[in-house]
Amino acid sequence: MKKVISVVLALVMMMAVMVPAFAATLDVNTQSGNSTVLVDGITDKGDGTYSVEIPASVDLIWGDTTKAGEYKITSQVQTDKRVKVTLAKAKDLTNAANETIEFAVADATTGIANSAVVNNEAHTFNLTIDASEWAAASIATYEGTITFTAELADA
Amino acid sequence: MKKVLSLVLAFVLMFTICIPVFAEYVGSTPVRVDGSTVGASYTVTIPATATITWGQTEKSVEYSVYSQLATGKGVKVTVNADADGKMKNAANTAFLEYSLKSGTTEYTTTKSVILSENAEKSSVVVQIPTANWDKASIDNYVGTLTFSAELTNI
Repeated sequence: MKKVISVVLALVMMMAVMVPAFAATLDVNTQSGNSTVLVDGITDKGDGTYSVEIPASVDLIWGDTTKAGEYKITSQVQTDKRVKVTLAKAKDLTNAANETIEFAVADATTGIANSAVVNNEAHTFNLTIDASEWAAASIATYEGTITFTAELADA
Repeated sequence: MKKVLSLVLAFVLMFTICIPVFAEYVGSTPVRVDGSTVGASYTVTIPATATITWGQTEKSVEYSVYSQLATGKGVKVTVNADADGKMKNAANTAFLEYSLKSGTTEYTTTKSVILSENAEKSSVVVQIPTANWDKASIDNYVGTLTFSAELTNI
């Protein structure tokens, strides 16, 4: 008996999820009818695509206490998703002698695209270096690193 | 008495060898079919769904018509895009714009009688330009085409 019930339930479930795709007909009694036009974009495109264009370098002038930079987001992702970019300092400004000037990524450390579909949407960030860092640093060429991390987030 | 009898027999013999020649008569009986009492019939078969692959700029949606109508009559099928040609996602928050290709939104059958096995076929073409795909978020979109059929003179 249990087997019979389980088979019946399985059939009911199958029927419930089946989408009928019967053609409709028009005749003298039914003069109009509808066809559904479907685009299954989730299956076709999955998460979609995005790219983030980041600056190859951010060049500071000695003594700068702030420096603005910009990156751009281009995306075509699912309606309820956004491209999220997170900035983080990976390495302080460091010279060949391994001396450092500390800097910070200020304010907008996270940028989120305004919509699912954007084209070269510009986002800015700011680096800050305390004046005391410059004052204490030996004159040399310094290079640091900022890491940009991009991911999809819920809108 | 014999004379009378012989006359009667002579007459009988005359009639027996007479070949009757009647006058010729030609008549006609009309055979009528009053088709006006029979209702016209036609069937337009439209697809339940038409699936468009992401990025596809044109999609032909085929339908067929067969009919048995009064002489000189045909079936005119008109197709319209609902919602101003906007496909929508389930939440009604995203749209994909499309249009119906000019010249494919109407079809009139060429004959009054079309057998089902030789149904006339036509297609309406759904157009989604690349620019529309580019500005659509990735989603599942649904739109509706409305087919309307009517009798017309051909």
